[in-house]
Amino acid sequence: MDKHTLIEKLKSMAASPSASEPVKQAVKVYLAVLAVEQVAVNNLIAVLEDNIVDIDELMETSQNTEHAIKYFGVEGAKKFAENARALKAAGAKYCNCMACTVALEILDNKDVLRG
Amino acid sequence: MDKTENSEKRALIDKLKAMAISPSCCPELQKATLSYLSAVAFEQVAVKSFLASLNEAVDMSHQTLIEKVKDMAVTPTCCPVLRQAAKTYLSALTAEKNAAKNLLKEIEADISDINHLVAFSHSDRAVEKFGAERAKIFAANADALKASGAKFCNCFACTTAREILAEKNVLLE
Repeated sequence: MDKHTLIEKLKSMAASPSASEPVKQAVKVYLAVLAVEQVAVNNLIAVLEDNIVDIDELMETSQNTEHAIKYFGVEGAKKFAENARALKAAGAKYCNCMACTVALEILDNKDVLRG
Repeated sequence: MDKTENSEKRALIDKLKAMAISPSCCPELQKATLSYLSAVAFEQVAVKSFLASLNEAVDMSHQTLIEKVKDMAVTPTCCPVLRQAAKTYLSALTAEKNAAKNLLKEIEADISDINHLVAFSHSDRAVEKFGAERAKIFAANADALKASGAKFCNCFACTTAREILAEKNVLLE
């Protein structure tokens, strides 16, 4: 049974006259908390989609020397720019930092996360 | 590394993640923890990418994805807005699992077994609730149900409750 079917069963059980008050209350609480979780997961997915850095954005950031130096220092900024160029040359579409890599994996499976 | 060492390391890493995203973690400790977790995560991504290259389609379970959300939230390149969204989601998820556990406990406690049903159907409370005539029918039905070998009440709420309990892992995982 999938989660959606189970939730429909919970609702019909709670609506039945023979369900006890504590069960009805627990179903109500559960459904309310579930709704909050659904809002949080949709928000997370929206923020993930907004924050993945595509390769052109990465190139632009890496070329902004002042900005890159602030984060990585002079040597680090140089390496960052070289890596961004190499990544683009290799045909990558997105930044390959840990956060972006994992974010892409999560977005590829967002329906699983939504449940 | 054997399986026990692996799961011990995983448990320790989970503790480090929880500590690093806790509001009371001092900046120095957070920085050192994030730096270590980042190195571990890079290693894991490298291994997973290699494994994925051997077997292209990677379907992930809900649990794996939750681990990924945790991994992502502790990387140094994760922006604060995304880190906050991940934290909010993980808290909401924990609240949902707690509510599910409480709900299942209530459901388990509420299913009437056949002896309880028969006792109730012959009680004054049944007369109070259904009236004398309907209580008589109710008691006859309960007796017939017990005679047929049923172990539980067959009202809609109890029947649905048992179906839900049989699939409780769907709510807990």
